[in-house]
Amino acid sequence: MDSAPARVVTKRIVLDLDRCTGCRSCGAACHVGHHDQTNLVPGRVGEAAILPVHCRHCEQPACVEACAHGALYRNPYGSVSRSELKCVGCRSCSLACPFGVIPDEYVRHVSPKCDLCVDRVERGGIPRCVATCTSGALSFVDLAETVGAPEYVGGRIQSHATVRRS
Amino acid sequence: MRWVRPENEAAKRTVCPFCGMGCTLLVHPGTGTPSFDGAAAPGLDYDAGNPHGGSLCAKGNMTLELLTHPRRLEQPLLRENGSLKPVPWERALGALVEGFRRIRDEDGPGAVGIMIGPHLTVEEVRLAAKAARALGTGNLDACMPEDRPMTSGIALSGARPEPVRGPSEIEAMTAMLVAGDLFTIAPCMAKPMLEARYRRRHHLLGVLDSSVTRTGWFAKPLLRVLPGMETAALATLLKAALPKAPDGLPWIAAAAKCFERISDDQLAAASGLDPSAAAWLVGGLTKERNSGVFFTPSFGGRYREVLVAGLLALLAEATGSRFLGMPVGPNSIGVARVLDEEGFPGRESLTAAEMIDAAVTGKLKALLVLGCDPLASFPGAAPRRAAQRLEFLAAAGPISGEGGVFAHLVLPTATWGERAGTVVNAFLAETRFDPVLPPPGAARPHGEILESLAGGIPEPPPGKAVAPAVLGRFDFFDELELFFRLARRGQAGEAGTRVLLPRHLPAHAGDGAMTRFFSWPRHEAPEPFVSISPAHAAEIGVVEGQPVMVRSRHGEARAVARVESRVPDGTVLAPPHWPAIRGLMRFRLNPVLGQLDFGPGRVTVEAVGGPSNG
Repeated sequence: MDSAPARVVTKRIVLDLDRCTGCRSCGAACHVGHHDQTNLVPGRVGEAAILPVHCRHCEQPACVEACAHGALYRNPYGSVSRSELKCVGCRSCSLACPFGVIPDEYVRHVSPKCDLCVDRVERGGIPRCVATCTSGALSFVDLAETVGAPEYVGGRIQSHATVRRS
Repeated sequence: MRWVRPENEAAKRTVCPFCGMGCTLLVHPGTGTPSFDGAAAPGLDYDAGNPHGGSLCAKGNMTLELLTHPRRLEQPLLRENGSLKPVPWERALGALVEGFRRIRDEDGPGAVGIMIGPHLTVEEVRLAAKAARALGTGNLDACMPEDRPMTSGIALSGARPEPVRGPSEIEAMTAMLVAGDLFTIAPCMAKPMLEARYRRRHHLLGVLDSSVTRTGWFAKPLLRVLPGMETAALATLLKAALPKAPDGLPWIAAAAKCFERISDDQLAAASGLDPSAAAWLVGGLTKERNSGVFFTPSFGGRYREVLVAGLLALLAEATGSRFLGMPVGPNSIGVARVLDEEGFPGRESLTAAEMIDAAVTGKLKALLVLGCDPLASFPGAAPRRAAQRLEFLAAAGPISGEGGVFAHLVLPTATWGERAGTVVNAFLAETRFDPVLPPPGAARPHGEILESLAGGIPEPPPGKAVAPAVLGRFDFFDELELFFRLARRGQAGEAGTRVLLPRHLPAHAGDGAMTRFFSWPRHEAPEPFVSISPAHAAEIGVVEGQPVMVRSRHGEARAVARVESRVPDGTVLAPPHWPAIRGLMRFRLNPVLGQLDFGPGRVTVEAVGGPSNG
């Protein structure tokens, strides 16, 4: 398995706001799967809702440019990763991220960063937060297929797709 | 980073140990956390064959933490000269049998008891019944302060509604009534319910609650009830459903007679529910062929849960809907079913709450606690006093709980993924599971302890009677009428006080006896908090994040204030898994049922370190 060439992951995590109940299972799965370091922020929209805020794994990642220690980089899978050994926890990435998805907190002196659960995805799996989602709000879909697909327009807000379109 | 995953190791399926939904999950025995020494740890995976489509809630994700928790017990401990010391199993079991035999022979079988938890499998409950019979006592009951009133309420109401058999049935429903915040206690119910909700334009998802909750966000419509008066709201709905109820229901005459004496105005005043909205909702449930009624144990703060659960079951039967009572324990329904079949607690014997009471007064002298922690589950100071007064307390469980502090004997047991057994979930489906991992250290399944106890005890000497009768006759509709007679008196509170409503967190289904020890809930809510409304905060001069003292007639708790506009007027919300918060609730031991009856407790909140202006 390890010798197979890396496949660029074109899929991204998409949230259906109409279904998110704010149960924070995604946060718990991320927390448990990444050794007590939560890479996913349960964001709060006023008091109205609690919903997961995911790393978009941008095409031109501001966090990578902001990192003075070379700890953030684009990995062979096409997602943005962080080297735990290089990260000093300076929080520059957290400040640079336009979506506010890198939590402003230290766990073992490093800033948490979504790795798209590449360990699972490379085996044909889906990220932990999507697998565990209790309401069907999170999905792991190919962006090319998602944007403009009939089931994703008309009343449903797609956080990721909307951001990409604008 | 690469995970070390031996490819030849197949994932094994087990059942989530946290609530009654019976979600399955996969455990890879030799995968998971990579470590520098190469030691393999178990890894969790999501089971696509699970009825909920592989999803797990925050609690389910913590399952592996239970298996490898630092507080796991690995060696039997015996109290000698005041301190607990590790001993071999033979010595520990010898001490257990000897302790029970001595007290049974000296004080009679009424002085010994066994309390079991909702984590025991069906087979283990049968062994507990065998052990109780060997002891000659009827004092065997489950310590399930949330789920026992629910199962009793449904049984006592006389309703026999058709049960909901699985998530696929929910997806096909066109009308639903949810009492309480189901999506917080059982988040996996959100997927089928929202699937049904969005499939049709004219879908009915009635949510009954006193505040806007996670479930309330998706309600269509949301019916707001007065806090603490959920019983009245359900009675209003049931009264509206009676004229169209199917013929031949055995309880209908008693219900009609009861409602003759309660006027519509009285119902509306007590519940705060609009009668036309109630009639419309009931009409929808009756009209739709695929409809369901769902009960959440936290509904209305478990206030008079026996009546609430019973009324919902009656409503389901009257409207021809399917019914689901959501238990917070993983096998609460199985435990209650087997205890009923085996005839425990006996008619002349003590229930779990009464065992606590009897231990405080010195009538009960030896207690074996299996897979539960009464000190964490029952509110107030009585469980602690009981544990201190008991002559012999043996505590068996996977994690050292609060009871272990007072126990004379602590026995480590295997938990969910480490033993075989059968459980019954909320859909009344039996699931058989096998062990996926060996238990840590010398931990053994509960069954082995119970078998040793049953096998080691000789026949009871003749002539010793069991404890006096406490169970009497409980008439559901008489109790309902009594509620209305007392309702008007109960509503008026003292000036400045507010009703304390429990606000559950998704990381804790029930009393948090197990989940309190895990990392995610600590990360989510590290300290007790209390939610107050902005008006209330301004009145007492408290800002967000400020420490406050919450006081009730039963106790006081220090908490951090959260100022939220969703808190209804005249109420205060607080998560009940913190023992200090649960200690504020009003409760009494119902002498007829032998179970705790919760009432809407009234509290005052004031800032710590400064005088309150209110």
